[in-house]
Parts: sequence; C-alpha cells; structure tokens
Amino acid sequence: MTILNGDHDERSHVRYFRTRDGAIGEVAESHAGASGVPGDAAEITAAEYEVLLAELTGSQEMLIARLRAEDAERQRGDYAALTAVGIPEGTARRLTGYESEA
Amino acid sequence: MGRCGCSGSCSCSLAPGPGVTISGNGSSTNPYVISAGGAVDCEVIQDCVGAALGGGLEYDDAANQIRVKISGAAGNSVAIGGDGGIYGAGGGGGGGGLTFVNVQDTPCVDLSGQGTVGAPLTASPILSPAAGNLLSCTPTGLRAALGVGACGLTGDGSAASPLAVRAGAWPYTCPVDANAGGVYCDSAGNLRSEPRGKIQYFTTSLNQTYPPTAVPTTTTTGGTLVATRTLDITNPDPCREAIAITAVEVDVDFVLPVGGRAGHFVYGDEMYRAENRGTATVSDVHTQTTKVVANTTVPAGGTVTVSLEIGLGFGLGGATYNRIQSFIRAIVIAL
Repeated sequence: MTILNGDHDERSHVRYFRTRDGAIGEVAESHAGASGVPGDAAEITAAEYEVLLAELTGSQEMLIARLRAEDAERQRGDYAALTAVGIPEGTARRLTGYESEA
Repeated sequence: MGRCGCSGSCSCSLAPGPGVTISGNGSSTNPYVISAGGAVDCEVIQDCVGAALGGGLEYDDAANQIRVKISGAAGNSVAIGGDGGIYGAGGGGGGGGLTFVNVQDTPCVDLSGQGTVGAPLTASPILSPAAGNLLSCTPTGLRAALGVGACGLTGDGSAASPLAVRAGAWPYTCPVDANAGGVYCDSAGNLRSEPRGKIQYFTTSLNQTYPPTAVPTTTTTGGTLVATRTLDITNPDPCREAIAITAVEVDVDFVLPVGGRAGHFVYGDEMYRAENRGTATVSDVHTQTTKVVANTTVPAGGTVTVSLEIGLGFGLGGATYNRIQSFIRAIVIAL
C-alpha cells in the first residue's frame, strides 16, 4: 500500500482572500488549489489580511463594548428598581448582574 | 558336296561340332547344310570369360556380374562413387568418372565428408551463439538444458520434471477462484500483481472573519445557507475507483446580547443552538461540531468536489456572528 501524504500537511498551502461584503478569509490546504473560496473573493496578501483582520477585530470589540455598556446601564437601572422596592442589595445584584459600586 | 556330282548320296563323312548341325546327305537334291544352329549358353560364355579375368576385376557367378574388385587392404580410399564410377578420395574430382557427394548445409545442419570409407559423410548441428540459447550437442544427442532461478519456477523441462510456476498454497478458507488477485505481464515481460493500494489524504480549512452580521431568523429545518466550502479530492489510483471518507468540522462565533439566540447547521442539520437568558452580553459563543459524511466514490484517476454546506438560523435578540471556521478532511482509499 502506498501512503501518498508524506509531503502534504494541513497547511502546506496557505492563501488569503477578501469578499465584497468585507469578510476576509484564510485558506489552508494540503494540495494547492484543492479548496474553493467564495465566488466573489479576491486574493490578498498575508500582510493585507493581517491589516484587515485587525480592522474587523476592532469593529467586533467596539460592538461588544457598546453592548456591554448597554448591559451595564440596564443592570444598574434594574438594580435600582429592585432595591427601591425593598429587595436586598445582594439579591438585587444577583438578579440583575449589576456589579459596579459593589 | 551337291556340286561334286555325286548321285544318290555322298560318301563323305561329316560330324557336327558343338553348336553346329548338319543336315542333308550330300546329294545334289539333298546337299549337306551345315548350320550354327541351337542356342549358345550365355552362362557358358560368362563362365568362360570370368575364368580369364586378370587383377582388378572379379566375377560374381551368382550375380552374373563382372566388376571392379575393391581391395580390402587398410587405407584404401577407392570406392564405387554415387554415380556408379570408381572413386578415389583426395583427387581433383570430376575426371575419369570420379565425383564427390554433393552436400548442402542448412542454417541448422552442417554437412561434411564425402560419403566414403575414408571420409564418411557427417552432419553436425549448428548452435546459435546468441545469448540464452540452451541447445547443446551432448554424447547422447541434442539437449536443451533448462535452468531455473532462485525464485518463481521449478522443474527442468523434462517429462519427469516439467517447468512450472512455483506457487504457494492458497492459505485461506475462502475460494481462490473468487477471491485471489491476478498476475500479469508488463511491457518488459516482468510478472506484475494487482495495482498497489493507495491512500491519499486531503484537507482544507477556511477561517473566515466577517463584519458583525445578524444571524438569520430562520427557524425551519436547515436554516439559511450562508457558506459553502469545497474540497477537490483526487483518486491517486489510475486503475480503480476509490472510496472517500470525509469528516467536516464547523465552528461559528456568535455574540449574544441579553435575550439573544443563534444556531448553526451543517448540511441542513442543526448542530448547535445557544440562547442568552442572562443579564449580560455573551461574546464568542461557539462550539466546534463534527460530522462524518457518507462515502464518496471517486472514479479511477478522477477528481470529485466535496462540499460543506453551512447554515445559520434561530437568530433572535440582536444575535450576530463574526467568524465561521471550517475543516474538510477526506481520506481517499483505493485498494
């Protein structure tokens, strides 16, 4: 039996692309050209990929920061509402997740 | 006597010798007639002549032949040639009734000698000097002495030990006719077995990062197809079809605000669903799911594209996704 994989590993060939909707991708393949990429993909360099990845990561972090800020504002409001009706602070924190000023 | 005028009869006395007859009485009307009548016996003549032969000739009374006498002395090369004449070896030939025996070689037989006692006709086989010729002339005749190498053949080609393939005994309980592989000759005349088994491993991974994108709200089976990943797999065996076993992995990163929900699908099958029922946003919600897909038949030497279909659904509460990672791994087996 002949095992034909001696010179192929999972990252024998790596390439990068960008699509029109702003997504980016990294393709690693054992055989060059064996895998497909989205139809609207344009190949980019590794350096270009790293730059775009940093930009997308930044956008993602901004989204999460905005959501967490909204979370904190909501938690604080819920906490205040609960304590105002006599719910103990500890219970109100556990129910709302409110942690600041703890 | 008839002319002498004797009347009546003649008084002369006549007597016939051998082979002679006398008739008549010598009268004019009946004269003597002397005739060389009667058959002369040839045997008598032969015997008479044969008795008078000199050296070099001999008379065979039984065969009624007079012929040259060949001396039986040692070293005598004289014989009766093929044309019936007297032939003595070593002469120039042709003249005086002497001649050679004509011979004609063939590619396989070399004739020599002159057909005489001193130079008898002989025939020798012509053995090709080409390498591999097995024929030789032995004291008991022509023989092709077959030899076999260290492996694969037995016998010497004789009736008692015929040349044969040396094959092992079939060691299995299943029938050999239905289960054994074949043996074939290649272009160089070497024996060959069935094609060697071949295994080829193909893999691809695709890590795609998206701007934050809303998870489709689809709640029906299969979700919404958002990505199709592919891998081309090639059968390394140019002779036989292969079977490919493919495993796929999918991992989708979600951000789930409070009340958010999202799920991912592989080939329309819901593999993962998460919902945030807490009080704070959860980011990087993900899990890596694996599916082994059905066997794929790949034609001899052919290429087949294996596809991975990734769907999303159950989007709720502002859930987004930002990354889809996938692996396609295929083992192509031709045995």
